[in-house]
Amino acid sequence: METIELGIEVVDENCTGCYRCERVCPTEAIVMVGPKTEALAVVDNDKCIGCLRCIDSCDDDALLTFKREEPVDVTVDTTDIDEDAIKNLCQAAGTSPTHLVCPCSNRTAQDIAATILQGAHTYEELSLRIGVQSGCLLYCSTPLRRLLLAGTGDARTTSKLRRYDSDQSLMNIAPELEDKYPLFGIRTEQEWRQKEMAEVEVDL
Amino acid sequence: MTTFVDRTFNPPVDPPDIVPSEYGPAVRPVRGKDVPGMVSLPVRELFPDIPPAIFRHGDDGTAMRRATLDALAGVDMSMIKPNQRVNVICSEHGFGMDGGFGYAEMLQAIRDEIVERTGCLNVKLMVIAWHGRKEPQELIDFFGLDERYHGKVAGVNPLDQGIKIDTVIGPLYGMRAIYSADWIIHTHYDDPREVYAHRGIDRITKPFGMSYARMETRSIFHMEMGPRTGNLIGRAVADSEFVRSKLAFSAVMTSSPDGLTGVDADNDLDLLGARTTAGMLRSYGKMLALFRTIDDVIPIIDGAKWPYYIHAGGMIFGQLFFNGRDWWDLDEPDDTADIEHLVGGNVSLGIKSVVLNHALIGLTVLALPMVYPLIIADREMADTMARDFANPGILDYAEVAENLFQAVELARERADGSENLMCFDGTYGAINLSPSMAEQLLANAPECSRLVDEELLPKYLKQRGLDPLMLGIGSA
Repeated sequence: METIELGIEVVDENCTGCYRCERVCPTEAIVMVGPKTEALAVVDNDKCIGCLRCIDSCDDDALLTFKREEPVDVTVDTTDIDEDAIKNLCQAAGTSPTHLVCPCSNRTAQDIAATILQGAHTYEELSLRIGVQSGCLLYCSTPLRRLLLAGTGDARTTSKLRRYDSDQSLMNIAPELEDKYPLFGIRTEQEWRQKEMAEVEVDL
Repeated sequence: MTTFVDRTFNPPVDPPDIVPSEYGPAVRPVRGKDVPGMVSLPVRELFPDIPPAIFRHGDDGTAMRRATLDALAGVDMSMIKPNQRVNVICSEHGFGMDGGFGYAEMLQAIRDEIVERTGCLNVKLMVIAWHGRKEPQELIDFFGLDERYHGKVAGVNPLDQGIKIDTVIGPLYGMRAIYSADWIIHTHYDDPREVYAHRGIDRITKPFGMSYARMETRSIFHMEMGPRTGNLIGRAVADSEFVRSKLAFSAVMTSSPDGLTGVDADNDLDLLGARTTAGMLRSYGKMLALFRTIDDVIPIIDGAKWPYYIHAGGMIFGQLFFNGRDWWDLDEPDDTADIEHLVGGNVSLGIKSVVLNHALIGLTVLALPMVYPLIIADREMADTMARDFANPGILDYAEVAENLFQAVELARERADGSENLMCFDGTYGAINLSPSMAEQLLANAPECSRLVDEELLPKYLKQRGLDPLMLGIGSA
C-alpha cells in the first residue's frame, strides 16, 4: 500500500498473553513485553504497516485499529537509482524487473531491488520502506526471499514470523523433467523467462 | 431503453445462503436477483447435454451420500488399521460450490465409511482456509463439521507450522497438521475455477501445492512459476515419496454447471485425475466457450466468496473476467512466462461495468476498478472493503451507491445504458440475469455447442492424451 492510514492500539485488560500477534507481525511492530507469565502486547506504531494480521490472530478483542492523524506514505525512492544494478539484481533473483511481486502493495521486482540497493536488507526493512507484506503475506514471500538472497547474500528476518527456506523458481527446474511432465511446458517457459530477464528494462 | 423480448422466462432462482463471515459484510438485505426485472435461465436450456445434477443447494444429502458410497465401493481401505490415525483433508472452495452442503455430505460419508469398513475411529477432518485465521472455524460452525466428524476436526491455514517434503524440484513445504497422520485422504472437486491458472492440465494435484501447502510453496506457485509450469508444484508434492506413502485414496466431488453430479474415488491418484480432467472438460467446455462470446454485460457480484470465485450457473466470475482466450487450448501459444501479464492481458472486453453487492475480503481484486467502472452497492460493503488489507485504496477507484438498486442504475449509466445484467450469486443450475442478457446467451449457445462438440473437446482431450471413452466413466 502507498499510504498507511491505520494504527493499532492494545486493550490491556483484554490481552491474555497468548503471543499470537507477535508471531504473525511481519515488522516486529507488536511484541510481548514482560515475563512470560504476565506478558502483554505492546505496539510500536512507527513500525506498523497496517496489515491487520494481529487483529485477525487475536481471539480476545485486545487489539483495535485507529485512524492515524498523519497517514504515513510508503513510496519507492526513485532518486539516484542505478538501473543496471537493479536489472542485474532481478536477473540474479530469476525474475524480470516488471514482475509483480506483491499484489497487495502493487510492488514489482524492480521496486524491491531498488530498495534493497538503497540499504533495506531484511524483510522488515522492505516492509517499512515500501509496504510489501502489508496484505496477504503470502504471494510475495518467495520472491522477496530470492531478491534478498540475490542482493545481500542472506534473507534475514528479525521478526517472529515463521519462515521456511524454500525458494524454487522456474529457472531452477531441471529441463529433463520436461520428458516426465510434457504438458507443463518447462523448456518453453524457461526460454520465455530467460528472454524476459534479458530484455525487459527497468521502468521506475 | 426498453428491450423487446419475445419469450417468457422463469422468475429468478434463490441462490445459496451466504455463510456469515467476519471477512465479509453482514448478509445483504437485498440480493442481485431482487433487482426488478430479473429472470433466470436454466443452463440446460443453453446446453441440454450438460450432465444433470443429483444435488443442488436445499436438497437433503441422500443423493450425495449414496454417490459417495457407490464411489468408495471400489476403493481399497485395507491399509487403514483400527489403531491408526487418518486425516481427511478438505479444501474450502468445496464449501463454495452450490452452497457447500453437498461437499459436507461427501466428507461425512467418507468418514462414516472409513469407520464402518476399517474400525478406525480416529478419523479427523482438516479444514483448510485461504487466509484468515478464523475462516476455518466459520466453515466448521456453518456446515456442522464438528458433529459430522464426532468432534475430530481442526482448522489450518498457510501460516501454520510446515513440514518439509522432498520433491523432484527440491524441498517444498506442506502444512504439518495435515500430514500428521498415518494416512491422508485427498478430497477434491472438479470445479474448473481458475482455468487461466491451471489450464486444465493437472487439476487433481493442485491442492498439494495450494490448500495443503505453506505460504512459501503457494508463493512459488503464484509468483515464481510460469502459466503452465505452476502445475508442477502440486504435482511434485503429490508425487513425492512422502505423500505417496501416506495417501490412502482420493475422492472427487464431480459437478457440472447444473450442480453436483456425483462422486468419483480411486486409490490411484493419476487414474482419478485423468477421469476428473476428462469430465471437467466435457461438463464445462460449452459454458466456457459461451462466456468467451459475451460482449456486453454488467456483472453483479453477490456471494459468499472472493469476487473472482463466485458462481453464476456454475461458472465463476473469474472465468468471465479473464475470458479473452481459450485457456484450455494448449496449442494456443503463450508469449510470456509471467502469468500475471498473461492473464492480465486477456481481460474481458465485454464487461462494461461491475456492481459489488457482497463478497469476502482478503484477495486482491484491484485490477477490477482499474479496468471497469466499479460500483459498490452500499456503505456497509464499502466499509468492508475499506478494511481489506489486500485491496488498499480500492475505494479511491470505485463509486459507492446508497443501495443495490441505485448501484445497478449507476452501473447502467457507466455502461451506456446497457441492460445486460448477470448475477454471480453462487447459483448452479440456472443463472439469474436480465431478459436481454438471457437472449444474448441463448443466441450464442448453439454455435458454442457445435464448436465444442466438433472441434474443441476432441482437441482438448487429444492434447492431454485422454481417451474420449473416459467421458463415460466416473459420472453419476
